[in-house]
Parts: sequence; C-alpha cells; structure tokens
Amino acid sequence: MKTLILGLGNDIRGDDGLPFYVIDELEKFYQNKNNIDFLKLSEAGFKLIDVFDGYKQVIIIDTIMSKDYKIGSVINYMYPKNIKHNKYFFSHNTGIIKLLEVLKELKLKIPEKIEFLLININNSDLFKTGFSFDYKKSIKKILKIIKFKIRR
Amino acid sequence: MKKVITIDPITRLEGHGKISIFLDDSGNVENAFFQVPEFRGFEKFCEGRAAEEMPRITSKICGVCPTAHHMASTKTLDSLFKVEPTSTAKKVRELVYNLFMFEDHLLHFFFLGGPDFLVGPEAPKEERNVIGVIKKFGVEIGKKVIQMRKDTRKVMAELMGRPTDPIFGMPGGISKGITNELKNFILKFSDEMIEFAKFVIKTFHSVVLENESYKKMILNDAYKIVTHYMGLVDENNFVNFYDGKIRVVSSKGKEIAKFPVEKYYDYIAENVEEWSYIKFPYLKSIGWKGFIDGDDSGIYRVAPLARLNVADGMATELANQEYKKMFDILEHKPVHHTLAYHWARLIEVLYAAERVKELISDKEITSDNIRNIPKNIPDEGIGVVEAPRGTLIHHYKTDENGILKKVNLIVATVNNSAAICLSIKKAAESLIKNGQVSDGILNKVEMAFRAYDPCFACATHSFPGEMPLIVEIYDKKKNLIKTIKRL
Repeated sequence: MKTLILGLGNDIRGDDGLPFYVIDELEKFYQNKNNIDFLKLSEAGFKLIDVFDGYKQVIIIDTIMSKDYKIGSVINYMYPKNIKHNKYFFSHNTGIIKLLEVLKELKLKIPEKIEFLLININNSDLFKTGFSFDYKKSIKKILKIIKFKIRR
Repeated sequence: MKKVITIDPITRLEGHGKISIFLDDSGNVENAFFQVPEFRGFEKFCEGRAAEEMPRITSKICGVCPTAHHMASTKTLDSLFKVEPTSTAKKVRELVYNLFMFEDHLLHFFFLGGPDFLVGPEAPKEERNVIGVIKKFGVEIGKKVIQMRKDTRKVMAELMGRPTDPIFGMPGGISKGITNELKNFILKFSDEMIEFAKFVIKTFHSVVLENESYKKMILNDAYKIVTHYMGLVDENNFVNFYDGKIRVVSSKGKEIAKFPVEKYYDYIAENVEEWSYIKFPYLKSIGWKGFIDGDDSGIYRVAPLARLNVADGMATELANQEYKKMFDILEHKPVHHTLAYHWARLIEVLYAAERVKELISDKEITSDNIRNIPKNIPDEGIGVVEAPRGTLIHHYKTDENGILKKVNLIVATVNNSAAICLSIKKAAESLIKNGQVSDGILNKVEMAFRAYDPCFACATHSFPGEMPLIVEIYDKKKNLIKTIKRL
C-alpha cells in the first residue's frame, strides 16, 4: 500500500515550519521503506489537487491555531469522520475537505485512508526560523502515532 | 447616522483579509477599504543573509506564487552581481515562467473565479463553484483541467528541481539545462497546452459572450472603475511576463511612462494608511489624491487586464487574435471593466501556451551554455517579472560580500490594493441603499475582488461563495447593530 505523508507548512514562518521538521524526522526513520513518499509543501487548497493521486493512504501533518487546545497539542482526525463540519478546519481554511469532494465528484480515485495530524501552534505571522515553544513532545507524539499507523 | 460595515474573512494561511465599508449619514456607501495584515518582519528576516539565498527564501513568502518570487529574485541577483545570463538561460527561464503562468491562470479560472461566469452569478450559492462547473460541463472537463495541471507541474519539476520552492535560478543563469528527451516531451505537450487553451477560450465565448446577461454583467457600472494601467512590455510593446520595460498608460489609453525597472522609484510611490498594513502604490507624477478613480487620480492597476491595456498586442498569433477580439467586443481601450480580468486571463493562458511552444522549438534551448559566472562585486540589484497577479518588483542592497543590508519588495497584489478598495466600494454601492444592506453583498463584493485573483487565502483556498465572511454593521458610535455571517 503506497502511503504519502504530507507536511503543510512554511519553514520561514516560525511554528508553521513544524510539519516540515516532522517530515525530516520521519524521512530519517523510514529511509529504507520505499512504499512511503514524503512531501513538504507550502501550498494549500486547490493547489493540492493533483497531490493525492496514486496513494492508498495519506497522512497530512498541518498546524492550527486554536484556543481550545494547549499549545503543542496534537489533534488527530480521520477523514471523513468528524471532519466535515469541524471548526478548526474552517479557521485554517486549507480547503482540503472541499478538494476531496471535488475529486469524488470527478469520480477520481481518492486515497482509502486520509487523516490529519494537527499541531496547535502560536501565531506565526512573523518571518523567522525556529519554534516558539518546546515542540519535542509534540514531535514525539506525532512520530509515535505515525509509526503505529504505518506498522498497521 | 454613520455606520461601519466590516466584512471579515476568517483565514490564516496567506493573511487575514478584512473589508470595512463606511456609510454616510444617509446610510449610503461613503468609502470601502480592503485590509490585509501582512506577515511582518520579512526585511528583518532577510538582513544579514547571503543574497544568493533570496530565490529560495522569497519563494516561500506565500504559497500562491512561489515561482514568480523565485524568478523576480533570480533576476534581481543578475542585477546585483552585474552579470548577464546566457541566452539559453534566459530562454529556459522564460519557458518555465510561461508554464507557471499557464497552470496558475487555469486553476483560477476553473476553480476560483470562473464559476461566477461558467455557472452564472445568479445561480444558487451551492452550485456557483467548481462542482457546479463539473455538473454543467461534465466530468471530463474537470479531469482534463487536473491532468493539464499535473502534467505542467511535472514538466516544471523536471526543469526546476521541484514544482514549488524551486532550486533553479542562479545569478547569471540556471542550475539545470534541458535534455533532448525533455525537449521532445515539452514540444509534444505544448501542442496539448495550445489545444486546451483554445478550448477554454471557445467555452468562454459560447457560455459568457454569447449570453446577453453575462455581457451586461461585465459591462455593469458596479464593476467598472477608471484607472491607469501598468505592465511589462517587450521591444514591440507586446505583453511579456518575463522581461522588458514597464509601461504605464493613462485611463484614456495614452502612454505616460515607459521605464526600465531600475528606475521604478522615479515613477512609483507608496501611500501609507494608518488602518492598513498594506501600502497603496500610486504614480508619482500624478500624486496620491485619495481613494478616487479617474484620470486625475494616481491609482493604477496591474495584472491580466492591465497588461493587455498597456500593450499594443500579444506576441503570439492566436493570442493576438483574441486580444483584438476582446477590445473589438468591449469597444474601448483601455477596458475599465473589472470583470474583464477573467477574459484577459484566458488570453494570457493562450499566449503562455504558444510561447512555450516557441521557446521549446528554439535550437538554442538544449545548449549546455546555461550560466555566466558572476565576477563583479555586488552592491544593489533590482528585478521584475509579471506575476499572475501583476507586476512584481524585488530590490536588494548588500555589502561587498553579498550580505543583504536592505530588501524591498513591491508585490503584485499590493499594486492593485487601492483599486481593489475602489472596486469593493463600487460593488457595495449597488447593494447598500439608505442604510438597507442586501444579503447579496457578500457575493457581489467577493466577485469584485476575486476578479483580481488577489494573493490571500480567502481568494485562493475557498470555494467562491463559501469564503468565510462576517459583515458587521456599526452605528456612528461603533455599536454593533447588525451582523451577516457566512461561516
């Protein structure tokens, strides 16, 4: 089963670069697995329209800014369960859910398993490198979740 | 009683846009302002870094036009290091750039702005989006758009190392040339690009131009503002996305300036408003007269319609035919109707496709002479390209070791910022009368600024008609008296 692990972020926008850091860590860990592709993108929404093609499983690592969770919390959602009307996606507004609807409408194959791992971050409206909080716990949690899912 | 209406899209990725509409004592629109709090600290972030890093860094400024920033930055490094790229490097850069314009414009037309036309502005909200387009025109068209985009990005990845965040442009040239095998692939693909562009234009003609109500909408005063125009032109005054001189024509179509980008400071100034992080560029020779349109205002516009307005034609045959057709049908040049931006965008799609074919057919394109090594001491460099969303200028100053001391960017959407405010005001005027606010304001205002394809999340990451919006109406004392929400 071909898997895509997609990090959405921007490594010159502070905490928004965390997904890229996670991808780097995962690439090191899975360097001999040829059925996993890793991708880092700073794009979103319809710019991702051709990215999922050919994958059975997609894990999207992204960031959110929510007052409902502690900074550094990792929130795990499985598509389509509890996602369509989730306010965090709405505020993040990456449009992936709509994008998947379009792909379905076009009768194009979408991955059998799609899930999101979201890291709750501080505001990242400043251009900078590095992170504003102790991110190691978040990374550890994400790695643990992904290793469990890939093993399955 | 004065009221303030605020339309506030809740977005994060590319900026948080906000529209405030101010009413006069009679409850009619007095002014409208478009605000985008920019991501801060970019200049500071760049200072102290090596200038050669800039094509990689600037392509990360936003997820919407990384290739445009990469190319503007690369050209700025040519200027900074005083090195002329080889002829092949220039051609390959322009080839890549036209591929990018092709896919970016197509995405906007089919998925973001186009549904206003293709499905119809009066269609229910739930149909006025790309799913509505698919239902109306069939699944195959949707699939074809995705396939074209996928193939274009595949070619771009081959040329640039990867489709986004390119590692391609270098001072004096490029990092990778074109093999004969790749040339043959692109040559074949360019025919598909041209055929698809022709098909898209044909669709626009049959769906939009042959329908009187659409034509009326394009020509509706609610979507017309009278401004000057700016864009890059080649030596024949034809549109060019990659290089040339900046030409400015007045609202009456007369050339009022033509200059190399190095002189931009003599022609463009930026007005600052305390309520906005975004600046409002204007023509220095006329001056800043406030948010008003007309020949006496210094406000100008950029991007597809502006590029066609400033040019004397398109440099490729089929695009030039369409160019002439557009001005014939709209019976005026320059065209001031904002919704004609969509039409101009499609003419540029055809031009980009034809230009790719021209460039890939050039004998020199596979030469391995792809870079001149810079030998001069850097100090100051300025570069320009036409981004999908308008003229994009980069300006760097460094020490003698090429370490950045100062960075200034005039990004495409910023050039249009004052005009976007005017367009929103015009659209709002038609829907707010004597304090009565029609719920249709959300769609009309969205259509007004979506035509510019502005570079912020609400325009690029959401379905038309689904952008999260809040309209807040305040009285003179700023008490909230009405809220219209779409979440």
